Amino acid sequence: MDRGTYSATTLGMAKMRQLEVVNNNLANVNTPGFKKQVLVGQEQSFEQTLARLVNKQDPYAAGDHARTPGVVSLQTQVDFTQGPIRDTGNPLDIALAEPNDFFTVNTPQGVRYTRAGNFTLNTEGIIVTQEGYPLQGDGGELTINGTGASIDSDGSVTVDGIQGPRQLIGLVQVVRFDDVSGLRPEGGTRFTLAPNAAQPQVVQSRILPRSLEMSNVSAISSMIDLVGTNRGFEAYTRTAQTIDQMNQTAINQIGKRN
Amino acid sequence: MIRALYTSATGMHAQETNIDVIANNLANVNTTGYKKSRADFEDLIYQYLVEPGAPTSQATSNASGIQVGLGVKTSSVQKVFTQGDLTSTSNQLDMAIEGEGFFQVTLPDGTIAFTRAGSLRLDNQGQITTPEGFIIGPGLTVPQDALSVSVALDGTVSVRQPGQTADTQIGQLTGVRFPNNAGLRAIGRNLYLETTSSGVATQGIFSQAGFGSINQGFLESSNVSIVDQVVSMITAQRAYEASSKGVTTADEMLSQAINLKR
Repeated sequence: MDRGTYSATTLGMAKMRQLEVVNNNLANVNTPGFKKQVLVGQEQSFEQTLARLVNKQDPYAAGDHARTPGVVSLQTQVDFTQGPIRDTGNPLDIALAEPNDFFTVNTPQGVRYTRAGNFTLNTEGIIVTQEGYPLQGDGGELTINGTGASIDSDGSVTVDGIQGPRQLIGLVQVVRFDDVSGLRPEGGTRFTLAPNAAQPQVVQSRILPRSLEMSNVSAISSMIDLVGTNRGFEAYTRTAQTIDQMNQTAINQIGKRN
Repeated sequence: MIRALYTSATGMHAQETNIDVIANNLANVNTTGYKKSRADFEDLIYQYLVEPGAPTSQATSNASGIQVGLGVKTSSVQKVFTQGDLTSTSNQLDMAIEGEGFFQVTLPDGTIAFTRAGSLRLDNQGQITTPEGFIIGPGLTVPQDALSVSVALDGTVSVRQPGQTADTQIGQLTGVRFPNNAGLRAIGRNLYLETTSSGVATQGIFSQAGFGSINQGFLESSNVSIVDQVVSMITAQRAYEASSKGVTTADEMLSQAINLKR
């Protein structure tokens, strides 16, 4: 068949993939600590096509990765911009003020990173995520053994003293990534670090007490993405139909025997 | 493509739960001692269509792969135990706790429950109870001939009897605290039960060691703020709407794809 059909199809497939990504963002528009994803596609540029012609190559040949002109080598990227901070009044809700900072949680699969600060206590009084994974403090897990627990802006976790001043339990560990591109979402608003990526540094950072960082998904831009996806897909269907019509004409009209 | 439909459906489902929680909060905007609930969400697992680091040529690789998230789920609905406003009622058996702590309530089946709703009553034996008639710990009886009842900040209950010039102490209300209030199980009627997540109840004296103080003649109103809830309701509705647009868009694209073949 025509190459056009296939290149239009890559566009159509890309738009379908994009819809999945956009819909996931929209579903998480109210999820604390959620970071939106973007689908990045690269098209084979005019220059690349020309270079192939100059080198006496088939401009559209299946080379390294340029299968057909159109959208090639799709990838999703996480947008780590800061989400809006919402004051909740809950003493175990904490938000991070710097966009490259993360809380560390220990899961059975290993260390994970999150910016969702809606923590709670488990049966042993340990500060855990909503799924029950312990939050890492400066000396391991943070166990609340008293009443009136609160977390302050320097990350210190305190409880009421038996008689007298408040007792320090420990510090919430905050880590900072120089390069956040090594983080991969794995659900539960947690991120896992790619095996060969640089390890984060433990930092003293500002924590916003009694607040939550909400999702950084903007409903407006997501709706625009949705419309763009829809119209992009329509463009694909129109292209495919036009090619189909041309083929139909070729087969039925030009090839007609008188 | 069908994946996109289901992803949007999870978004609509989550926001439905959110609206359920908000509606209950708003319904209880005037309930004494009511504590608002909050629904929390988290993203579902990710499907890796192309693994990160998959080679795109001998020298290059796909930096982040293609990760498609599968939507959202409700991770928890928890109570937020912030202080409600104290309103003056001038009723001598209305008591508000200002600060941390709960009253202890014995249910008819002997179970111990906890409440912050201090609109108390006397039953036919003169015992101090909740409006439903459940006895407030430790179980104090006001004599039949008592002229007035006064409650001190530390929960000490005294009565004035005819012919007396001074109040007689009849006992002290038990204060109870938990390491994690949010872990309590709400059972309705303004009552909470201890759970493994709330931690073990610690009994104590009001106004001491972190316990709140008792304010006689006041009630703690609901900590639901209408403005806050209505704003949450608007965001929840818009989030629902946005996900529903995701469904229609997926539907339209599927229909366009199907109509390619005429």
